[in-house]
Amino acid sequence: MKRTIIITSILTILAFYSNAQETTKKVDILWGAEEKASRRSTLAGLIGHDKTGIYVLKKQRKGLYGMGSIATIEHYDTKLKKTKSVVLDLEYKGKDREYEGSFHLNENLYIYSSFRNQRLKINFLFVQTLNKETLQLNNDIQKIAEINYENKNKLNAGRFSFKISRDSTKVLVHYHMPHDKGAKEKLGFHVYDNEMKPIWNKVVTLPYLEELFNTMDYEISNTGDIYVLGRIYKEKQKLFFYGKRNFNYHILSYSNTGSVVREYPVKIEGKFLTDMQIAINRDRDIICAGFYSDEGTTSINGSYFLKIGGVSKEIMAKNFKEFGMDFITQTMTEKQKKKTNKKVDKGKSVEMYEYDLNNIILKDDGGAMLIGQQFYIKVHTTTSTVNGQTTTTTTYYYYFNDIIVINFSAAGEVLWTEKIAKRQVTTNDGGFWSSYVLSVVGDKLFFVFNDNPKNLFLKPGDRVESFRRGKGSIAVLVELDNEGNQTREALYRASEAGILARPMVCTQISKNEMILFGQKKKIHRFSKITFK
Amino acid sequence: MFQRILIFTLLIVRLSLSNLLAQDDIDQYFDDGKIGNAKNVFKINVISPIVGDLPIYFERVFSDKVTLEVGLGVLLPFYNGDIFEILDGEELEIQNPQFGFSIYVHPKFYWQSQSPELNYSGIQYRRRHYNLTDRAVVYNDISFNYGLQVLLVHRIAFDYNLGVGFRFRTVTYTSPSSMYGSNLDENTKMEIIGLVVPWTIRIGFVL
Repeated sequence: MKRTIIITSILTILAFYSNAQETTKKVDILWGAEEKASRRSTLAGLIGHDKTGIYVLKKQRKGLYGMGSIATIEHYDTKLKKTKSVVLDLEYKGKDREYEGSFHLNENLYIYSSFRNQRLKINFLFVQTLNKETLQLNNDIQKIAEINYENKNKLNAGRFSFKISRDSTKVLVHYHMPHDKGAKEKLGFHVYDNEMKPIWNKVVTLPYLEELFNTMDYEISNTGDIYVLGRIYKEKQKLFFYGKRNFNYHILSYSNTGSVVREYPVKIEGKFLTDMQIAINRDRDIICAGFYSDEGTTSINGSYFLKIGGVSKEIMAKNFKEFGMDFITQTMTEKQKKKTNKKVDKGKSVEMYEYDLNNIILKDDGGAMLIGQQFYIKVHTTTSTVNGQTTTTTTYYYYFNDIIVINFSAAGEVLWTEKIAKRQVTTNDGGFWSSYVLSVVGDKLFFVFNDNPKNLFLKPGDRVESFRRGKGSIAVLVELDNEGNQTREALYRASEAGILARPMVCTQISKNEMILFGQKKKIHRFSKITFK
Repeated sequence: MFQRILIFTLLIVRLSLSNLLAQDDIDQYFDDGKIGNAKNVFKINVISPIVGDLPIYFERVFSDKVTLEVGLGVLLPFYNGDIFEILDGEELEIQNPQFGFSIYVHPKFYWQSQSPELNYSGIQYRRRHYNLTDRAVVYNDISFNYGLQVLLVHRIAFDYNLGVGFRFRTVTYTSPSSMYGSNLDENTKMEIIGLVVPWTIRIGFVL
């Protein structure tokens, strides 16, 4: 009898583990070779891909405290085999330029760099193509924008940023003019086509004081119109002032080569819009979506959707919906649910905290999907005295928790909301291994992130286990179909792959392919996920 | 045939010229009068003449973040205490000093930007040698300093520096009558005399 029990137990454990070991069949994984690299180097981003493979930018910290860095451009073929690696040399006749960004447009790899001329007090922006064979910069450098920072120091010389239109035919280079206390906010725009030929440029002065305006996002439409989403603060540039929300969202648009300026104040009576993302659809309507709270609270308690006519400035669709109890308590344990329900019974409001909006995805039917993640940092300082010596240690805890997805119809109605259980807590690393990478494949969403294997068998009411950096961790694939049904499966085990994924630098490269990058100690490794 | 050669030659000349012109166009954006690559800064102190010290400083860039500043000064024949100092115990009175000299050594770490610009910190060593009629007095200050150096216009630099540290004093008696009962063989004393707060404003020229 005893023997039967032991054999049954062993078989059960084996069955459990064989189940746990199983990885998803929804994708094919092509693994690249393990490469030795410096511990101080990592992937900065994937800068382009074509039929020959992918181009990536790696950065290696150098010098005291890793304050400087060396940038390297590498090419990997379609089998993810490294074919070339070249240090990006941004020196021009003995002058060091600063790397600003790179894009793959119209089969060309463009590298953007800047140089702050201390004599002229002008910050120049240059663009140059990269030879895809040699990975060396071509001799076609051209100046495309400049910021005058006269009477300012070089840290107040403005900074260039970029945005690409949805169809990749237009490039927006935008910058803030150097900070000038008490002056009105000034923004600079340069619009180029995908061959970096200039279309129009303009420096605009906004009707708001610099100290009371904060740009949150920029968008460029396929026709080259620019949209600026900004927060206007009432008193000081603080989210809260004497316990009350202290800002409103405004959208500004610049169309017809900057000659037509429109302003769209965004408001829903009685609701406070805490977070907002904008996107421009094919009809040049502005889609705004985000979270709202009731006046006087610090959390979020619902989502909203606004469609504003780009020309008419009229609100074409407006909807907001409170998060339901099922949604709020979806990833809670039974104990936490009971506690929350008690709160509701007592008439107290139940809300969600620390959610950041990450993406807005426009759907073909005119609707949109909103994706957010719970993110916050906690700082713990401890003081200990050993042998009369007092030591103070400060630890930063980075929390990247549940992902939320809200699906809006074209009319702005919430079709469904879904929460993906995730708990990632790491210390003093800025969340290097945390967060997620998203791929949109047809009408499905796929999320990849590092997880604790125990969460593969998560049932409603179970505690969500935290991801740990050790060998036991796995990369998971969570599929969300167009009805909001989710499935979670193992993508690969860190111990077998020899690396841990770095979701923040991974990217979807085609309709059904995604490039993942992982590293551990001195090992770097790429993989390509093909969705079946 | 001649016409073809002429056209071909003209075409090549034109292409070369346009390349050169394009190159010149780009070069002008990088012409910063070598300020961006400046490795040396010469400075004078606008505060220290009040305390009778006339130093000139030379700062040399060694890397993106690290520089070394050295200074050499003439001590004028009068003495005023530093603007901020908390000196403990007996403070030696320096009366009617003759000309002396001062030395500064200050390795700096520019943590905000590329050296020699913006915020820095470092350990400064300052030595002043006063010659009096019956003794020589040497003040050695070691302080931790924080400073900000900015380029104002063209090559003119402005350097503001504030620190906190200790002062050591060494007295070497040259006349036995001034020893007040001390052993004549031990005519040198070195002691810590208090806290100093060095504060300087300097104007410099970048080379």
